Amino acid sequence: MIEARRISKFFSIIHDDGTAGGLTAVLSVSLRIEDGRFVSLLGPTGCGKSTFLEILAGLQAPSDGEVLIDGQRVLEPLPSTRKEMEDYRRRYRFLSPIANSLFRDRPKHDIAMIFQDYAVFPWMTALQNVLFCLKLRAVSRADRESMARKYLHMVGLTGSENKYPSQMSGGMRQRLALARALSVEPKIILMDEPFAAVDAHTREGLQADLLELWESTGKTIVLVTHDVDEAAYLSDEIVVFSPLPGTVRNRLKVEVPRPRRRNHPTLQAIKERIQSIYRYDSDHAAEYII
Amino acid sequence: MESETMSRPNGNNSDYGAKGWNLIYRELKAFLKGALGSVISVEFATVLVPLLIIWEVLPRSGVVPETLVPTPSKIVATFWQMLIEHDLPHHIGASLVRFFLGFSIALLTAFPIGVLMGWNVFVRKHCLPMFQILAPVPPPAWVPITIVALGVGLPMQVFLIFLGAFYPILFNTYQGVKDTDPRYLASARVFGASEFTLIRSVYVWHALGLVIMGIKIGIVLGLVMLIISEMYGGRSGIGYLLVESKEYFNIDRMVVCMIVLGALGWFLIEIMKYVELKLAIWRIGR
Repeated sequence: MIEARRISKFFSIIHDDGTAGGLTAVLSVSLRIEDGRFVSLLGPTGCGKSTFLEILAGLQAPSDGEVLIDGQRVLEPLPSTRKEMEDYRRRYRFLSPIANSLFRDRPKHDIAMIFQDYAVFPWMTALQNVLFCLKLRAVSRADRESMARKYLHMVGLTGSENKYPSQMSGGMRQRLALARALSVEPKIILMDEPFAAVDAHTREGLQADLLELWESTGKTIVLVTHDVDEAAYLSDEIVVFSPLPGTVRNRLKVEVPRPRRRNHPTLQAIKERIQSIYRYDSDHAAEYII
Repeated sequence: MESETMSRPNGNNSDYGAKGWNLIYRELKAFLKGALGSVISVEFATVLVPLLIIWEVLPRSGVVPETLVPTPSKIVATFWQMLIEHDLPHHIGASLVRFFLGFSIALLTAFPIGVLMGWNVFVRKHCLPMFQILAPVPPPAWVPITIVALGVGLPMQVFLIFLGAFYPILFNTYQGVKDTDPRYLASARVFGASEFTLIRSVYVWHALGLVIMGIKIGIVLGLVMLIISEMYGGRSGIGYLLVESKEYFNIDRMVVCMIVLGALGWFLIEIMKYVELKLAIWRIGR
């Protein structure tokens, strides 16, 4: 179970006229995601949902609030008083708080993440990419190769094991990122706009693959997307983010039995409801400026 | 990269599974083909041959004084004579030993320090300012104080070559490691990579291009310092030969020394190009 309690994230930024200012990317978001659920975080681009996902993964420290995965805290929040700040600086003067450890390969939590632009290592072949992740999870050397091949086969990359990512198409790289995330058999997969950069046809294929995998393995999936269709079709629950600062604007349960049809009337109703929320927000934009 | 994933040749193609002498022979052939391919080509010959002819004809016809501009044929003859009578191989060998001593010490210190500085802010804040202050001092400016401190001889020459090669390798490595794309770091961290694994499998590979660039600049500056150090003191080496031929006003010998140096530098750069090709196969597809 993932539990986010009042997560806020502030950035300092520089305005166009050269003055310094603050930006609230995420404002007091609380969320509880049960095991085995498929949850989408939906919002317009640049609304802080990717930042929120990175906070869930422990790649950024929240300015306020805390994230618990199975009751265990992911990262401590940033210090707020001068005394705390000095303490924090001293503790992390050598290693950054998001580092795992100096020499031991061990993830803090049983999660995998797929990034917006895949972040597969260009200096490793497809097979080496998967093997690398398996090695980090301390899978025994004898099992590594067969597992890697199994998952590459599962996403349809058989025959491309020795290709480098630069020799692959966008869709194939996306599949490789998926294989890499699945191969370590995590309980939770976080996805940051995984299908944004592939064409519509490939996207539908990948979505179908993803649903099949999710149904057969029962993992928890958190999907960040700006695509209303995608969110409605895939997820059990949609969390709608408002434009900056990112707060939870609405939560919608999608209670349509699976397998779903893409043009199911309930899905259409949900899409229209989300679009009307956005329309209302843009019409009343002035009221939201803090 | 981890050896067990890297050392897997793709499939059963017999040419790629070569071992022992066959492997060395095949790699050597590939290296020579890559290195000499650009020099021995029809396109370059159409430029080089006319140039050589002009160079040969102008002094012979008296347009430029023959005493000042030796012809290519005379240079070849001098080269042969130096090879046999004046112990040129011995001097080249002496220079190479110095160069490799100084250069290897520079590589073995600059690369790890650069990686550590790029990786960690704590190390960077402690070490970088010192190098930033020392680096702008031109390496030849170190010659007098080095001679005073170390005397004339091998230690002084090795130290000067080390100085020439150290900073380019250090700063290029540092820059490459520091600029590593945070997405790759984040994706490795989510899967549980320790900092050491990050250095070994992400930082170094991402910085590879810049590191090799730094090594190439280091080779060039190392050669500069080699000649300077041999000019100032020593009884052997190509730099010594150069100064000696100046004393006797042997212009043809000077030109031979210059050509030998040029060939040496070119050869070392070609070796680095080959190493880059071998290590960064993944970049070829781009």
